Amino acid sequence: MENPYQPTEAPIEDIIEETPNIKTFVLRPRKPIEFQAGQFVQITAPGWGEAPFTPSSSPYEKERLEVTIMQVGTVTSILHNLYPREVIGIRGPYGKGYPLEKFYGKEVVIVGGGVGLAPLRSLLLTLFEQIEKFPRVRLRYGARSPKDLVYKNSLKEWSRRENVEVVTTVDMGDETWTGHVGLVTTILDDLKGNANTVAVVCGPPIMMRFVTLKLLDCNFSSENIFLSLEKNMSCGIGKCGHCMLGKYYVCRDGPVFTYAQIKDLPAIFD
Amino acid sequence: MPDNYDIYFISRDNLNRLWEKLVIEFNLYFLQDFEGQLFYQLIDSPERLRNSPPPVYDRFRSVISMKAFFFLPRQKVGGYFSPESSSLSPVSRPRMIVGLKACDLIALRTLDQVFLEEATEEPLYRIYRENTFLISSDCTDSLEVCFCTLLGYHPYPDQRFDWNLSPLKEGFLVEVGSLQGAKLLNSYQPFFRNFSPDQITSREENRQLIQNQVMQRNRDFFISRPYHEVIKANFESRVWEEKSQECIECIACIHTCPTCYCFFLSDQRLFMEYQRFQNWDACYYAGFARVAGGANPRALMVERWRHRYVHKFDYYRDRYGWDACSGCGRCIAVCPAKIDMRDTIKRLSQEHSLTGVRK
Repeated sequence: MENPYQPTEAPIEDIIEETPNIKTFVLRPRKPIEFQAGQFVQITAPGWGEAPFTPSSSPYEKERLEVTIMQVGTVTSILHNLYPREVIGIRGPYGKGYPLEKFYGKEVVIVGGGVGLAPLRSLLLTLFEQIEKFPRVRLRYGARSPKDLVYKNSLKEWSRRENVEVVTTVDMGDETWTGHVGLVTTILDDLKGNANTVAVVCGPPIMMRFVTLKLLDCNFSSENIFLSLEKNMSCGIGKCGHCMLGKYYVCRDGPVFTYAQIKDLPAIFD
Repeated sequence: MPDNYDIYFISRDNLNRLWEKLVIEFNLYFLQDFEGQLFYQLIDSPERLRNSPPPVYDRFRSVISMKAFFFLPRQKVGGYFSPESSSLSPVSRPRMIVGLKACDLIALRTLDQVFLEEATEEPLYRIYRENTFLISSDCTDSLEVCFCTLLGYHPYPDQRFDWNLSPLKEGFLVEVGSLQGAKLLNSYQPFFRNFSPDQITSREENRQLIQNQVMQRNRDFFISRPYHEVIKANFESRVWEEKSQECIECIACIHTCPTCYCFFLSDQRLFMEYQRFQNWDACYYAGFARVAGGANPRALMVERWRHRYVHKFDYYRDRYGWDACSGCGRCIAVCPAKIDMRDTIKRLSQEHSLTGVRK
C-alpha cells in the first residue's frame, strides 16, 4: 500500500535568484509529478521538515518541476542555503487546481502580488498551450519594488504574445523604474466583470482581500473570482487539521477556491 | 436487537480458561482497577495472566482512550530516501483489547473514517487496526462525566466490535459483530453454549437500567435540540468568550479525547537516514494555524476554542454525517479549569446572541 507521507527524491538541477529573498528551484523528481496548475506539492528540506508550494512551471513539462520560494521561515531558510545537485524531497500533487473548463471561451484576468505570481505563472503557461480557447489574457502584477518583481524576463516575453496584455506596477519605484507606481489595486480600474470574464488572484493575504473587493467593485461576480489560498500545512491530504478554513481543508478542497465558496467563512484573509 | 448477529453464552470459568488459550496467540489488554478508575494492562504471557487479577469486564470506560492503540502520540510513518529507511512493521503479535465501551467504538468510527479513507489510507493505522481484536462490553455503571445519552447514543455497544460481552450473574452473553469475531469464536466453540431467552431478557433489562442511569445523571444538562444544531446556530455567541477565558491551554482534553486526531509531521536525521514522524497536535496551540509569514486565522484563544467544537459538531458532521464526539466525558474529567462541555452547550442553547466575537 502506498504511504502518503513518503517523499520522492528530487535533485536540484538549478537555482535561479529572482530577488534578494526569492529563489526558483528547478527540480528533477525521480518519479514524475503530474500536476495541474494551482495544485501544490510538499517540499522536504531533508531532516528538517516540509512546506507547501505551488509549482510555477508548466504542467506540460514532464522532466522538470520549478518551485519559486521566498525565504520566510525555517524550512525556506534551509532550502535557500542549498546548492544545485543537492537532493530535496517532494510529495504530491495535492489539492484542486484551477478549473480550466470554467475559463474556456472567457477573458481571463490574472492579478498577482509579489511571489504570488508563482502559481499564476503555471496557469499562464497552461493557458498559452491552448490560447485559442481564451479570447484574451490580462495579467496585472504588482510587487513592492522593482527588485521584488519575479520572472522579469518572462514578463517581457509574455507581453509580446497576441491577445496577452501585461501591466506591471510597483509600490515604490527606483531610479531605473519607468513603469507604473502604486499598489496593484490601482491598475485594476479599467477592468469590467461580466458573464464572460473570470479573475484569478494570488498574493499576500492583505493584497488578496483588497484586490477581491476591487474586483467586486468592477462587477466581477463572486463565482468568477478564483483565489489561491495559503495555509499552515502538514499532511497535505486533509487529515492533520492545520489548514482548516471553516469546514474546508484548504489542502483538499482548495487551495483554489471561488470567492463565493469562502466569503462567509471566518478569517479568510488572515 | 439486531437479528443477524450470533449470540452465545460463556460462563466465567470458561472465559478464564479461554484467556489462557488466547494469551498464547494475542497480547491481551485487560482493564484493571486503580483507585476506582480503569486502566489498560498488558498481559502478554501465560505467567503474567496467572499472576494478574481477572479483567474488569463491566462498570464504565477506561481513563485512557483506545486512540493510542491505533494512532500513537509519536510514531514513525516514513523514512527517506532508501527503501530500508521507509519500512514500517510495528506489530509483532496481534492484540486483543478487552473492555472497550460503547463510547470507544463510536469514537473509532471517526478515527476509521479519517485514517482509512480511500486514496489517502494510512498504512500504519491499517496495520494496527487489522492486528487488533476488539472485545467490548456493556456499561453497568457510569461516571459523573458520562453523557453519551445527550448525543443520542447509549451505554452499550452496537457497532464495530468483534465480540461484545454483556455481563450476567452466571457469565456473559457474547455477541459476535464481525467475520473475524465469528471465525475466532468458531475455533473455540467448545467454550461457548447456546443462550437462553431469559438471558436476552436480562441483558435488555440491564441495558435499560444503565441507560436510565446515564440519562438521570444528565437531566440538568438536557436540551431539546441536538448539540450540532445549537453549536451551528450560535457561532457568534458570547458564551464562547466566557467559557474560553477559563481555558489554560493545557491540551489535556485534546490528548485524552478519542475523536481528536490532529497531528503534525516532523523529520529528523538518524545517522545515514532521515525519518518522518507523525505526532499528536492540538488546535488550541497559538501557532497551530500560523503561517511562516506571521498571519494567523485564529490568533485569539476564543477563536481556537470555539473552532474545536464547531469542527466536531458542524464541519465534521457536514462532511461525514455524524458528530466527532462520543459523549465519553474525558474532556470534562481532565480539565483543570473544570470546563464542562455540557454546560457550554446548555448555555449556548439559552443564549440569544447580542454581542459576539469577530467572525
